[in-house]
Amino acid sequence: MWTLFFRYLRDRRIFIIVFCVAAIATMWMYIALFPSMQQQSATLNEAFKSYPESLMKAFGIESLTFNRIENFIAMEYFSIIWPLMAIFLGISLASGAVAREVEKGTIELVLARPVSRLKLFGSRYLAGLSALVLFTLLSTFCVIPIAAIHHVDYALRNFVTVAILGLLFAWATFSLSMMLSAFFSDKGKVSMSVGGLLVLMYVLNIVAALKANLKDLQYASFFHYFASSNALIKNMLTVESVWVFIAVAVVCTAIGSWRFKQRDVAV
Amino acid sequence: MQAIVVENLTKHFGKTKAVDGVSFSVEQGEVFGFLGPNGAGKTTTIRCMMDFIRPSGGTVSLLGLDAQKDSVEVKKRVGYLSGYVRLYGSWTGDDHIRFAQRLSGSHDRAQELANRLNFNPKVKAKALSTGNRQKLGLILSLLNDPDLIIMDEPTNALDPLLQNAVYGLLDEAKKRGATIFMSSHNLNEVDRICTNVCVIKQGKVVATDAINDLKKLRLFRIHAHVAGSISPAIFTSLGAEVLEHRNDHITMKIKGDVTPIIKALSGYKLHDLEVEHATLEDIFLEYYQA
Repeated sequence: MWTLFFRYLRDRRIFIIVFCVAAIATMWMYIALFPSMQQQSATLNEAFKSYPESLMKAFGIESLTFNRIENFIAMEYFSIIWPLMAIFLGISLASGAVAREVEKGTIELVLARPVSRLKLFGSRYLAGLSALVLFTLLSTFCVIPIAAIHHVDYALRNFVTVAILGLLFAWATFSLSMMLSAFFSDKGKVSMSVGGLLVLMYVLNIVAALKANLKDLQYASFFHYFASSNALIKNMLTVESVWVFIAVAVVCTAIGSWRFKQRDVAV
Repeated sequence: MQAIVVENLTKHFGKTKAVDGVSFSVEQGEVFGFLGPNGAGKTTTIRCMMDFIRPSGGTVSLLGLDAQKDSVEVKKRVGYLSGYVRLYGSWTGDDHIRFAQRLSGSHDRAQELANRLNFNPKVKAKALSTGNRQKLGLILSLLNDPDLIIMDEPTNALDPLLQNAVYGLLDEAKKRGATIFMSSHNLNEVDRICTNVCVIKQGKVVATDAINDLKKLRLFRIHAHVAGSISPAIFTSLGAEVLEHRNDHITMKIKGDVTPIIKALSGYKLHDLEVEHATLEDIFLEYYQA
């Protein structure tokens, strides 16, 4: 199992490193910008007051003052950039784990050896999840050295909370992608399906925030549960978010591994 | 003991019956040829045997174990070569070999096999020619001295010199008691290596027999050179298939009793007459085209 685990990570090490470095560089840029933004905080707050409340809520921005680094990072980094990076990384790792191998026919190389399908699926799953854990930890806790360099105060507990929420979000997205990767024999189909689903979820979340009579649609969206502003600004993590992400991850993993065990892997 | 038992195997892809009730068995130590035209269901059968695809019905037993339920145990003792060797483009030959060794826990025959097949394992797979990819596939399939070797077109893309090297490796495997199951389009190769064959067509077995018994089938090729001209019509009416006709020459294929043909030919003044058993190729074409 560890042969499959380490080989999978080794083959994707550059890709994973690039994602981590890009995330750290983005965080660094925002922390470096923060002192000047903080000085302009009063002016910006006045400008933000003119924004419609429902619009701010739709984009997960409910508390907009740049007097703290957490507010600034929540709006600039964790609202869009970080989840997008986590989604791209998760989809890519998952689609390469099964669907791409079936598409290229290389899965025969592995399954011609004494390796069970569950072991193959499990090792690739753990490898992908490990990469996401690494990405989440580095992209979040890089705040510690970078904030020290730029003499910016921060609340570590809030970053721990957003890291937990981010990891749960990334885990659920990755598990959904792994499930579809076990169904399809084409990497492109996995990316398009998961991407399409997440775009739909994003739209549902915005529509639910803008229209009171469609409010319940928010419960069908990952982005409703991924309340990064609450996590980073208020250090708040709802039980509902935790359980929804865990449930999605567990169910998708179970269905994916069952399907991979049943399916034809040669095309 | 039987190394392979395939019973009533079926595999449907939607409405298409790729394999339709195939049954055959292979004794331990036997070299078994699996033949058929393109699209006959050979690769699908092999993939069912390797548990890459799941049968719609029937059973496959390899080395006394269920190919599906005991897949992991079976593969500890099976070497497999795909008809089209798929490799990880960014890995070298050595990477593939080490990966296979770690998964199979096999002892190191890689260097010896690489030397015999004149293969350089330091090159990345994406830079390998089709022939070299085939060589790497062969090394991976023979790495752990398997008890059962399943090969889909083993000498595909290899030059005659390397084909002989492969035959040598298969001969050695046979001598140590391994069972070899191979599909092939190369009938000379089948004639040379295999002891028994199974012919499959449109997903169904049309013949299973020893090579020598197949050759004894009453299928003849007759070539006659006569004085004057010879008419093919009389021979066609007697059931012969005229392969070639040129005024005083005729070549025909006869299935069954040749006596009426010989009697008809006795009416001509013969310069030359040849009656020979049909080649293996003729026999298989007979099955393929039936």
